[in-house]
Parts: sequence; C-alpha cells; structure tokens
Amino acid sequence: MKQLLILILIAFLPVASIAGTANKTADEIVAASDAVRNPGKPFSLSVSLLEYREGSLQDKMLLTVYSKADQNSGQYRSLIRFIEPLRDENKLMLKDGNNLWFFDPESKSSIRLSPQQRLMGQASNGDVVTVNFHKDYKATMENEETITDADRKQRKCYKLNMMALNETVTYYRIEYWVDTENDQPVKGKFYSESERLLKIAYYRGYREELGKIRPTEMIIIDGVDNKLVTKMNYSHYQFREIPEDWFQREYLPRFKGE
Amino acid sequence: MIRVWYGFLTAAFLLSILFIPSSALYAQQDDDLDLIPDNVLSQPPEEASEALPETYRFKIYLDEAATANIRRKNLVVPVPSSDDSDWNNRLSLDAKTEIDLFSNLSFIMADRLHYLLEENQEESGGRVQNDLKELYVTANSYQFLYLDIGRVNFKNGVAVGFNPTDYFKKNAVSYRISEDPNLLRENRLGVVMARAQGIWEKGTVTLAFAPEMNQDQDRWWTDDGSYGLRLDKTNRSNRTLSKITLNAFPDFNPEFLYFYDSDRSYFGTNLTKGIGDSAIVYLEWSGSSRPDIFAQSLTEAQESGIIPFNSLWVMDSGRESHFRNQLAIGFSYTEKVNRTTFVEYHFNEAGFSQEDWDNWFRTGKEAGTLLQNPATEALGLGMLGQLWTTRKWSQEAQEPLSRHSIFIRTFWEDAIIHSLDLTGITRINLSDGSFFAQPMAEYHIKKNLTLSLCVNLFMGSDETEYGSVDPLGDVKAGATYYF
Repeated sequence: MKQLLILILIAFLPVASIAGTANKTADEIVAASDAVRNPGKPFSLSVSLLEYREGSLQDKMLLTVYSKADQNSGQYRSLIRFIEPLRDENKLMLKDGNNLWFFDPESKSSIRLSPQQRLMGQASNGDVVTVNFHKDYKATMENEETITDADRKQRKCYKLNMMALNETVTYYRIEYWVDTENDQPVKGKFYSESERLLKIAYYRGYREELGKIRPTEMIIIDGVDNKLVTKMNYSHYQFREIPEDWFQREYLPRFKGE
Repeated sequence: MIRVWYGFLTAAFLLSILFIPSSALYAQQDDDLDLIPDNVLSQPPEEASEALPETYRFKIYLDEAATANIRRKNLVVPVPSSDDSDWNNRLSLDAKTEIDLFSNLSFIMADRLHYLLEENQEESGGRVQNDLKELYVTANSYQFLYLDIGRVNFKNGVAVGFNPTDYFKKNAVSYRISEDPNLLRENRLGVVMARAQGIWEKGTVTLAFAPEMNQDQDRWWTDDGSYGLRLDKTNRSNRTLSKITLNAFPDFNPEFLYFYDSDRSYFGTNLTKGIGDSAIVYLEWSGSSRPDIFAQSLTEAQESGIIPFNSLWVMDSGRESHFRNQLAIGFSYTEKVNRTTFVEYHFNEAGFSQEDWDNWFRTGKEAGTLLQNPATEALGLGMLGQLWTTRKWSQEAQEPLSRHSIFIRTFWEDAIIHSLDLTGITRINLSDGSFFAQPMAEYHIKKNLTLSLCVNLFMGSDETEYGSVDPLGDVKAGATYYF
C-alpha cells in the first residue's frame, strides 16, 4: 500500500508542476515579462545598434531613449534622440501610441511616419521604443519547452502564442518564450499577417538595472535574409522625471537633450 | 524482494514518462541560434555614452556640389536675362550651435556660408554668400511657456511637396541648392519674429508676430551683399500667426491656423491619420481671399520696383480678390524593404489653369516676335519680364504655378546594397502632362562622409510648364563631410 502511494506521488509530480503554472494566465505571464523588460517608472537609457552581415560589422547607430507610460492607455510613450551616425545627430523620433513623428533639426520639419519604418537593419521603431506587449496582444499558452538561450544555456520556458489586438502594431503574431522561473523573455519569433517570419529575437545579457534583473542585449535575426543580424545593447538605465510636454510634437524643435 | 522493487521502479519510470511533457525531457534543438555568428555573441557589448546634461550643442558639416547643366535651346518664350553657364560649383559650410546661457535661457544660431563659382566667373574668383539662417534667444518659464525672439525658422505643415500652411516660407530660400523640398528647407532663412508658445498635455498654442523690415532699402539689415541679412525679403510685411494643435484624441492631432498678412487673412489646417502599421494619410489646407498668381506676382513686382509701376499687364488676370483654396492631400506608405513613398495631390486655386498657360505661351510668342524688330524690342522685353516674373515669384513663394499637380517622393534606405540610399522625386502638371524628375543616390562611404549623385530633368513639349524652362536639366555630384 505504501509502495502504491509512493508510485502515485512520483507519477503525478510533473502534473503537479504544470498545474502550478496554470494559476498564471498566458496574459499574466506576458505582463510579468513586460515588467522584466520595462521599469515601472519614467526612465531613460542608451541604446547601441550594431548591424552585422555574415558576422562582419557594417553599420552602427547610437541612440538615447526616454520613456514614460501613458496614464490612460498604460502603453509607453518614447522620445528617441539620435547620437550617431553624425549625419543623423540630434534628429528625434517621437512615439505616442500610434503617432510616430520624425523631426529633423536641419529642416525644422516634423514628418509623420508609420510604425513599419525601420531604424537600421532589422531593428524597427517598435524594438527600440519601450513596448508593453500585454497591451497590444492576446496571449495563449502553447506548452512548456526547454530551449537553448543565446548563451547556449538550457532554459525551461512557457511557449506563448500572441495575436495582435489591433492592426496598427508592427507584428501580427508573436511566438514568445518566457522563462518559467523568473518571467524573463528568452526568445521571440515575429510574424506578418501572411504568416511570413519577419524576425527572430533573443534576449540576453541579464543584469540588475533599476532594481530588477533585466535584459541588456537583444539579438535580432532577419526572417528573410538570415545572414543579417542586428545586436542591440541597452545601458545607462536611469529613472528620471520626464515632463509631459516632451511627448508633444510641437516640443520637438525645443528638445535639448536634458 | 528485489524483483518487487525492480517492478515498482519500472512502473514508476513508465508512468513518469507518460505524464511528463515530452519537451521537458530534452532541450529543443534550436536551429535559429546557429544563424547568429559566434563573434556577434562573443563580442563585448558596445555601450552608447550616457545622456548627460549639456550646456551647448554644436553641429558642423561641409557640403560640396559640382553641377553640369544640360541646356535647352530655342525656348518658345525666351528668358530676358538668362544664366547660360554650363557648370557651377558650390562649397558650403553649415554650422549650428545652441548654448544654454541659464537654465531657462538659450541662444541658438544657424549659419551657412557658400562659396559659389560658375562658368565665366573663374577670373573673378567666384563669390561668397553667407546665409544667417537663425539667430535667436529662447526663454522658458512656468515649464510650459516659451518665448523666442530673433530670426527664427518657423515651419508649419504636414505635407512634403507643398505646404500651404507654411506661411513663413515665402522668399525664405536665398540660394536654391536643389529642387528637393527637404533640402530647400535646410537652406532657408528664418524670419525675425517674437514667438510665444504654450505646450500642455492636451495641446499647444502658438502666437507669432513678424514685423515689417522693408521700409528702408539702404539699411544694414536689408543688405543683399555677400554677408547681408536680407531681412527685407523675409520680413516684407507685418504678419501674425496663431496656431492651435490639439492632442486630445489618440492617433489624431488636428492643427488649426490663422495667419494675417498685409490686410489679408488666411485660414489653415493640418490633419494626419495612421492606417494600419504601414500607411499615413494627411491633408494640409489653407484658404484666403487673394488675387490669382499672375496678379499677385505683378502687384508685388510693381510695389518693389522690379517692373514699372504704370506698366500695363500683358495677360488677362484675376486681379480681384476672392476666396481661393490651396490644398496638399496625400498618403505615405512604407514597404517591408524600408522604402517609403509619399504621393500628394496639390491644388492651387490661384495658380494657372490650362487656359492661363495657353495665354502665357501666346503672349510669350508675341513678345518673342517683337524682339526681332529693334523698334519693338523694348516692348517685347517688357512683356517677357512680366511673364517670367510670375514664374520666379511662384518659385520664391514656394507655391505651385499650376492649378493641379501630383507630387511623388520615394526614399529607399539601404537600397540594393548596404549604405546606399535612393531618392526619387517627381512633380507632374496634370493639365499638360509635363513633369520634373529627380533621381538621387547617396552612398555613406564612411560614418561621417556621404557621396551623392543627382540628376534633375524638366521634361515636356515646348509649350508646357516643365518643357519651357532652361536648363533642360543638370547632373550634380556632391560630397558631405560631418565634423
């Protein structure tokens, strides 16, 4: 009888483990992974984008990003200042919801852009600006998988399928792997409406920033031309007050950096 | 006993296999990782510098452009005094600085110094032209209120090829470096004004006053020499602008403008709306009670003494003012290859209809005939002067000469090969089918050096808008170096 009891306990251990995850919905997992990527308060950070073709560096871009969540929508608004290349120095990009404006201080003109516009390589505006996925996508749990992360380590992950809630987002569907232990995003595969693979992203370089272990590197592989790889590094995280007027188009000509 | 335990363990193992998800037993083979080269993974992160408070910002670059003109022979309507050089060269030094004098007071200056050389000017050594584009101080108080005083480049409008609400654009381009409206904006003079702006979360209110500085032509601020400020051109009359930008709706920020210039009121609006993740539609409109483009250009030319005050006008024209609209409506579309195309329809109710064009060419041909006879040559030159004054006025006012036109601009970043940007611009006169086309290639050979090659073509039959200008086109090779 005792042996039978042990047998039943051993047999059902994995089931108990899965049942434990069932307490958290797929959407909650996405929200938790958003909190890993994004600090809860207004912040700034520096971003470097390095574009490689077949392993050789062919382009570089340096940016400063200022982000603050909108109190009504919960989605982030971001102001991006171009630092390098020199020809783009001090140009600005503002993203407030679906409003995306590009300001060129040389011509003093602001042009409205679509979210599809890319910054460099495979890095879209959506990759650089802060985005809360759980606001724009409906997630469903596919299963649990152990996958290899970008540091060649095994990570036990929730595999989530995320469908866009509105047509203005850059990606129609995302396959998203989130570490079961700590909600850290590990990998994403991003698809168009026609189910074409647009890009694959790996999150790595986890270290403590603004009170939480956060990814400081993202590696993006082009979904079509997979010899093209873009590496993004995030650094100099800083909580900061960001005035509301920074997110007004009319403020762009007045932006001074600090 | 051993057999019992063996059976127990075997059963437990089998049951465990049954319930454990198969994926958890072994790691997924991730082929995607193999797409990342080892050196990309192993290289230490390259960190951008920290955004620190700056008390000054400075940007300087050198721009060189050598142009070979392609001449058009035998114009139907001759130009009275034409520039017939086959080549020219421009070397420009552009500098912009912003200095924070105090925490709420900044000084801004933007200047462009040109060295210009044309065919037949080699002996004189060319000429220098300095464009002081901006020089003003800006003060901030109560966090949301800004005041600017000085020469300010104040641009309005959401369209790309024609901006009806860009009320301070007239006479702002002192040296026409390109037909690309983007480049023209970079080389434009500001207007002396006092501008107050309040920026709140729900919108922005802007008020600007630009005084007339045209009363005395012999003062230092009206000097048209190499280092002249040319304020008589940018501040030709007293003007005020009021603008409200609303930020009250998601994805829709309408803008409303009221502009007052020389006893004439202008009303305008700017609207944009996103469609999906790839397209933007936009509309820019302005309306005012004004005469047509021929009457307005000749009135101003007579007032400034370019043509005699008592001369008779050679074309029947809409001299009387009535409400006329200007409109730029269009969309932009971004493709997956990072190519963005803007398509715009331009309407200028004060511009030439096809009937006006027919009249313009008929009058021009009559004037050309008068040139053949020494007795009537002066009369012919006077007639041609009026006709070409209108065309020059439309260029300086940056408004379409024709009533209906189409504008297309395509920009393709990293086209075909890396660091190669291709731009294509075209303007099409919808009445006569003539067009202007500008293909341009820019190659970023180094991170601070860009090489460019550009072709301008004005195409059409002899009696069309773009087929009646000289030159027929040009080829321009350029280089830009950023310090």
